[in-house]
Amino acid sequence: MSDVVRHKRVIERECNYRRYSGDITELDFGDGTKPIKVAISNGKEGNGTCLGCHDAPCMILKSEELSLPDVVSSFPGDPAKNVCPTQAISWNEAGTSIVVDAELCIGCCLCVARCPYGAISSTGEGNVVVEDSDPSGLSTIVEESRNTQDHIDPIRIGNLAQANSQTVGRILEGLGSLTDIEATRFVRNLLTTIGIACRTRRKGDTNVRIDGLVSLADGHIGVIEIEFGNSVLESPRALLEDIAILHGRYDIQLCSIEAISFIVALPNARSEYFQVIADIETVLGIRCRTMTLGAVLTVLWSNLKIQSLGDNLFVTQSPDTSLLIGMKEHLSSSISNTEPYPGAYQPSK
Amino acid sequence: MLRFPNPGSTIANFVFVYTAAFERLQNQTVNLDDIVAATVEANLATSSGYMGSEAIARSTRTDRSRDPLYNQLKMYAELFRALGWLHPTENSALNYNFTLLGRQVVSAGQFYMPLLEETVLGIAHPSHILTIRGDHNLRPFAFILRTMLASGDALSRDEMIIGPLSALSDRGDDPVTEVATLVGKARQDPESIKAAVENVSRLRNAQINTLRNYTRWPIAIMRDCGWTEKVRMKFRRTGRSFEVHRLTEHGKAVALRVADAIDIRVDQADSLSIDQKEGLSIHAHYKMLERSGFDIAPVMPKLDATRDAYRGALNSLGVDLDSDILFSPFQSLNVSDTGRIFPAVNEGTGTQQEQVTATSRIDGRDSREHLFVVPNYVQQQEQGDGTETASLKEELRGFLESCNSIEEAAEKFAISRSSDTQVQFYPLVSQMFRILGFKSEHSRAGVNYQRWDACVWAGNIAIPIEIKSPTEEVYLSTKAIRQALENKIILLARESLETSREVTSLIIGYQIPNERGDLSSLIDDIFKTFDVRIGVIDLYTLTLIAMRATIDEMTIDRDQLSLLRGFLHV
Repeated sequence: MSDVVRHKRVIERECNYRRYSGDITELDFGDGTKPIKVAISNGKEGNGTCLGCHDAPCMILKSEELSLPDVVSSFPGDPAKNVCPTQAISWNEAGTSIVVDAELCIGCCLCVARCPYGAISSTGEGNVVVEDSDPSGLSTIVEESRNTQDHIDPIRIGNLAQANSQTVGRILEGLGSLTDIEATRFVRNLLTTIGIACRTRRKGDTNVRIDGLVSLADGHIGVIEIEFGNSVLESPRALLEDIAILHGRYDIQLCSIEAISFIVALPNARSEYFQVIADIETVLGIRCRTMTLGAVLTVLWSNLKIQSLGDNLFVTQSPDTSLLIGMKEHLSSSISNTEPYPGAYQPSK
Repeated sequence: MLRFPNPGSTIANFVFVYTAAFERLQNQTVNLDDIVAATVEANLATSSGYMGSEAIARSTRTDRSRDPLYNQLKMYAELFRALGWLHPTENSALNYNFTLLGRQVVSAGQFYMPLLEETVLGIAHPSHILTIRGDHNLRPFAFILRTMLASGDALSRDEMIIGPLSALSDRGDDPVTEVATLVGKARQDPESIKAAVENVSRLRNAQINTLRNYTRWPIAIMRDCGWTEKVRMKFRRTGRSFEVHRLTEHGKAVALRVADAIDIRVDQADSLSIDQKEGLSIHAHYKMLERSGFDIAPVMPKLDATRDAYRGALNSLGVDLDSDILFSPFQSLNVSDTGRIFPAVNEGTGTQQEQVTATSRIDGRDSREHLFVVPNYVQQQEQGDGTETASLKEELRGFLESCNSIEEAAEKFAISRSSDTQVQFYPLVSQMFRILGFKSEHSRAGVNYQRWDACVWAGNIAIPIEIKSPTEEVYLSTKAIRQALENKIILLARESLETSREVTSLIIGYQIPNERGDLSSLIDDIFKTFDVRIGVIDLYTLTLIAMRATIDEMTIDRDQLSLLRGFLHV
């Protein structure tokens, strides 16, 4: 007899509580304001429901999602794997389904994007709801202990959420109440969920000053500086330091390093920011890209994934450039022209 | 006073460090180097701007007291021992085994917190597992919580110092009232608490900041366990407010529970027969796990088999059978007892990292001597602007006359400028260069359309200068290096002044930090990556050179200045 005993919650998490009666084939998010329609392989359709997944991808990132290429795999990333930036999501008392605290939820829809079964949907009013009553009768309770296999990735159509003043306003308001480390973790989770493997710095590590590293499917490695305050101008010079460290200490070729500032909104068109970025490209041949929170939310909410940054994704060549042009060219021409909030795509004049 | 080390930033990270070490080394006897290696491999520790194995190489030193990673993990290990997660071996206090209790923490995965709370409450002194300084007979966290209950549900950091953490014993007649009375007196006004803390400082012969550092971990763990939250209270006499850590609803429930529980200490356990000690240990351990959410059904046969011995133990100690007890065998009993009672505890077979300690102690890594540049003095060809610099020259001469050496004069002059703001420091820098025979101009503080704070010309070639006044940064940081790089890029791109790529971008600051590894590594990285030179001069060095120019009209070689990479070093 072993002296080691197991935690009840760990035991509960070894299988899905329920399963659909066939493999899931399609998730239709519609316009991002209604419950998600699910299609399964036996021809049944209906509203998705929470299956109580063993690994709760809506709540917890997998270690593999945070992995970086060998050359930078020792980057001291934040070990926390929680998905929700405000800790709004948790298990219900019985451990059979997840619940979302509407007060805490800021409606970013990370959990919506990560749920493999279409159980979580945006209300269109700045938060999300969980369906766990299986209104369409698609599921059965799992009797036997099993089902630790990976989830099937179905076709996804429609938009996770609508960018309106309520949804975007709630996120911007929520962002202000996050601690530095929570905001940084939010960025990591956004990028990871749109297909860019990312690791952000662990709190308390003063030895490595890079805010985050990303790994793109095309083999490029990116340094990322996150600036949610008023010091956007600090960002390009911090990126140069990051590049110097990666090249100087880890021999990563300059041509395979992407430099990315992650900010809330592009600064005013008269800001020195754009000129400094242009100066860096002129003198060093390095193109500093700018991701705004709004642009990344658009990618997430449009069900898009980013494999590479190409020549023009998130590039601001001058104060007149709009990020939307690169996003339409590189990701999807169907992205809405409406800017989620001022400064998300183009600088205010 | 009880001293808790403070190794890290968050309690979650604290648990991650243990988990990383456990997952990699669980079946071995380990030493601190093993734990360092495991922690670095899990990307949980870095050193000197490096990550991975390079971090270990740069940290490891023959003199282990100067080895940052080793010392950080030493602090972790001390706390892991206090929590009963790690045991020293019977033969060496520097070799460790992972305990069954630690294994349970890891096996709980993301649900570790309730067990962490239990093991925090399980810390008690004396213990066979950890010897501490001082003759304390305390269960510190239980005592802090009980003192909080008796002190308006809250304690400030300084009240913890003068109260529960300074108490020698929490046993006896009414230690909580005694300590709470002390705290109550200190809450009269700010002077009372200040005097009480100073008294502890004097008695313990320790700086107040050091005493406060000892409270960091306890405060962090009470916060992260959800026991306390920060609020403000008012001093009774003055009405001024001060920050306290107040019990949350959960914290209050825990405090009430420990206040009602029967606290069994190691001396009592040691007084029991072997069977009774085993019964008490097995039941206390699994009850603790059950409270923490573990399924103890698989060990019920074991509990049944030892139930009589458990009852016998409680009878011997005069404890009611239904009592909630505070006793954690892995945090109290000696290693041979826990090994006998819980035979599944791993006994390792030799440490893994002997090769690391043998090969990696190379004191730092990489010489940076090439970055310390001794000035090459030449006869001054051009005189500085006499009218603008006359007053500064006069001041420098004054220091030279009143001191025994040029070094002493330069040092005293630098100290005299330690309160300079940008308004005084920018012109000082440009005037110094003019004394050296170089054309130099500074921008007005706050005017940043040009970015660089000053400029010095080597012939026709402009060298941008980033200046950090002592009131901005006493010690130069990497921030200045970033700005110097940007200055150079802007100057090259906008061509507002004549310059060239190979000419340095200067930084003038008040002092260069003693630990220059970070600055020098970055200067090398920038040169290797962008082919841009960054030169650094501190005020003492600049003053000494300017004094030489004042005395004998010697100055720094123009080419050396314009190609400076690293620190000008006199």
